Amino acid sequence: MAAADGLISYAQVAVCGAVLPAFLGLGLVRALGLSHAHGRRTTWAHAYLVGQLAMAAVTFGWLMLGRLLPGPPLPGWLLPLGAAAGGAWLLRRAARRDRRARQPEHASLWIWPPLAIAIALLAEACSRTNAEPIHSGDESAIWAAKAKVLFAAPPGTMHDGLHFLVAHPDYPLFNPLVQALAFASTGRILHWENRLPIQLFGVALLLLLSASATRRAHPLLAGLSLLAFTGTAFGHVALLAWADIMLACATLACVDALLAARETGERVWWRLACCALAAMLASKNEGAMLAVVVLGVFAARWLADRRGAAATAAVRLRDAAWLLMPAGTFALHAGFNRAYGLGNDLLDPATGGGRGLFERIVHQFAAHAPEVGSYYAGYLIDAGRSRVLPILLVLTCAVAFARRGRRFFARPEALLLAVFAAATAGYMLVFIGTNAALTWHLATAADRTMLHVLPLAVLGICCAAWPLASGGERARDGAPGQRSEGMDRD
Amino acid sequence: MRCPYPRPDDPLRMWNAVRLLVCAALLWQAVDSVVSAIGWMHSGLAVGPRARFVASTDERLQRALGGDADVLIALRAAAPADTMLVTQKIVGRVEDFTPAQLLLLAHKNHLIGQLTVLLYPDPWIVSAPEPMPFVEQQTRRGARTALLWLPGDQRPSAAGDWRAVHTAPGFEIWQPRTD
Repeated sequence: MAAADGLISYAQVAVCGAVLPAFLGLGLVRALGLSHAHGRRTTWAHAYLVGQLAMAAVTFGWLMLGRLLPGPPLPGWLLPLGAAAGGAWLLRRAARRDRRARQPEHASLWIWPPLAIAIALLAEACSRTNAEPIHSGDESAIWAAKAKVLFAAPPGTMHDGLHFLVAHPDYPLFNPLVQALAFASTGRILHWENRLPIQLFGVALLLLLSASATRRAHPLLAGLSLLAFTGTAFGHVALLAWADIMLACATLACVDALLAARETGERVWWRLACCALAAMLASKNEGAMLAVVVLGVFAARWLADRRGAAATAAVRLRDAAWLLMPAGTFALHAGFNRAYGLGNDLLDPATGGGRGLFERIVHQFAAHAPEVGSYYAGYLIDAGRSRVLPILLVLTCAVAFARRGRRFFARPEALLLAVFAAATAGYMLVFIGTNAALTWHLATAADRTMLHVLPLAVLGICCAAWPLASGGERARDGAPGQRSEGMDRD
Repeated sequence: MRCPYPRPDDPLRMWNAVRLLVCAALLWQAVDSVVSAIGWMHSGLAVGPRARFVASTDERLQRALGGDADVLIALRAAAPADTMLVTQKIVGRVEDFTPAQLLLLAHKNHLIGQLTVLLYPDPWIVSAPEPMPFVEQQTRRGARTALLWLPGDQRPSAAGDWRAVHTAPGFEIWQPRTD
């Protein structure tokens, strides 16, 4: 029935491009050590991120093998089928191992209504957006175009397709591969359904943010800040097939996991943090800068903790090996770009008047810094854009510092503030060194890039303003699966 | 394992007044966010359930592209299989055009961008500053290439070395004569 074409296609992509990768992800995070006792929201959010990342790697392998090997490629519907089989096998193994870990969970009435409202508003806006195909702007010229070239470039034309069809063909592969999985599952190029798996990263982000905030702060504050957050750039960026929402989700997942690793000492968090780091690097080029910032801040804190003999997350060599995952992701991206002769226009001196990005930052500092500073100052005080979240983060952290003194620096809000401030400073420097028209570049990209770290501001406000008993104490009182009353409110 | 954070009964907790102020600020922003989102739902951009869930891809294209969707759908049906379509690339300086010309060129540029990405890979549309010599050269090399003529472009002469393969409102497809 022709009238139901849209619905059937939507359902097909929902199952093959989102549900089955999440199912595989669930099996993977269980295999890594995450159990029901860590909370359903946390588990599903990480499952979606890890599952999509794993399927992106599988899809990349399938696409490349299809080009390299003679004969017709394997049908694309085998990919989601493989995800289902892999997820079922991993979950069966995990269920045998973690049978004793299942515990009833405690729901908080403070967090569920705001979370339900936030997800309902997002779902409504996404379905409204999907009434139109991906036809203009970055989601068409960068992300969907690259997905189409990866999936459908006729033999021998991949190079030309990347160079002539795709704007910024050097951008990372995670987003195009998620869309390519939707194409492969249905066996054809899609024009609007492929937004859905990307939009679900917005849901994963809301789940993770609510879980992370309620784990560390009063759920009333968590709920209010979650709703306020939906009124930022999140409200429109999460609707489109851009990679920004994927990067924001991965960055939050990484920081939350590193905080939890520090609080509980459980190794599963370190493994999840490394997966999230890989997702950051695979989402956008900005992910590399954010990864350096996050690792730098946490490494500095870890060293300080060790000096004070308060390290709770002992990093062993075996754990450090997990860093091979983000390193491998970075190498794969660099190798792909090298193989097809792709380079970044912001870093390439040829497009910047003979100067690279870092040279331009120095050279253009005096000319660009006032406008960049003024734009960011305007962002801070414009409630319609930032929902005053950055200012609240700074103010609550200032009060927390005044009350706690030096002990403030060991708290999660201090780490979150440091990551937020360093990332914002990094973005400001990039805008100072831009090779595009500054006003245009700021207007089109600044709010979107702030979204990458705004969830950290939300979490920081919650931790600073109304903290609960720390995660470390809760974990000490009861390991996952043996938690006491009121510990996890998922 | 020692906890890195102060205990919950830490005397150094924040003042309740500060907490109240933060909650009030967040409540204000939360309410404003929800009201704004609901306002969007009831704005002129409201979309019915059929357009959201049931509509086919072509219906969605018509909704988004308006009259340009007819060009896209007709071109998709008319394009010769496995053929690269070459169209006129818009070149020149802003100062060389009147505001009215710029508006037309901007619309045309937008249309070419949409056709290129939405129709890829069949047909694959590329833009060239001199499309006719480019198509002739590619055809001589044996590549399956045709000229995509859009309103405002220079039209090949049917009396000369070119023949119209397809003519439709909004576009024409031309190929060099090879006989």
